[in-house]
Amino acid sequence: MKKADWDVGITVDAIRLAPRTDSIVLITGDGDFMPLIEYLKEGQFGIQVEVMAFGRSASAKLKEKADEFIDLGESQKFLLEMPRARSK
Amino acid sequence: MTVIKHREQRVAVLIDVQNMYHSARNLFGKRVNFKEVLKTAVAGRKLVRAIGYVIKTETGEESAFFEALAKIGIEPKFKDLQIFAGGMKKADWDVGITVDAIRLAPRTDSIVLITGDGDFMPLIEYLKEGQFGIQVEVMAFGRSASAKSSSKTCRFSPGG
Repeated sequence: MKKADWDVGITVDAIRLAPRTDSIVLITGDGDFMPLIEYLKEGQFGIQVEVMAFGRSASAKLKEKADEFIDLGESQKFLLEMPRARSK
Repeated sequence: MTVIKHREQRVAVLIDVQNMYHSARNLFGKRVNFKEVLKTAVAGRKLVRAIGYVIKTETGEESAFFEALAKIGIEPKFKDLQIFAGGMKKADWDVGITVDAIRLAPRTDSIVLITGDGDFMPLIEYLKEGQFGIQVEVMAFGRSASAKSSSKTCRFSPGG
């Protein structure tokens, strides 16, 4: 079984940075971050948490829990064309 | 490395049930005896909290398992399997375990992480070397555990 994610690293960094920030912007649509968002907002820190992700694939709970959710799918400006395959 | 387990130490035991369940099944074709695991983890010290992190299956057959955990003194925390657009599935409690460990850290002298998952390295480093400076112990099946996490912790019990 393979696993490739940065969940623990992102969580530790967010909590480590929390005392020196007023808002943390998480750029992910992964619903697994719910306990982190709750802790940052409602725990000892009480800071603001903003989430940016593609609305269609982002976790509904995450969108609801974040102080602000920015849908990256709403504007073309967040997207670039795929690089063309190199010709031989 | 030798670690001293003074009886007055306050310990919290966080069990990555999903990881241990799959390791035991894949390595030995058996289930985990969580009662014995918890007893060895606590080692006669003061237990502050024991939490077992579980992922709900689609069939819901695990409710008896939750009760069994609670009966031996492990608080079950469960959540649903996450299915992403495109069908990719994700079933881990990494964020929840990390937040709970950091939340409990000021009230513990040692945290026992029961998982073989090497992804917990940043958490182990933070608990040991950050503001808390507490002891971290890891229990897992040696054959499945991450080599990185076993070299970083104070104590490593090959549960197999």
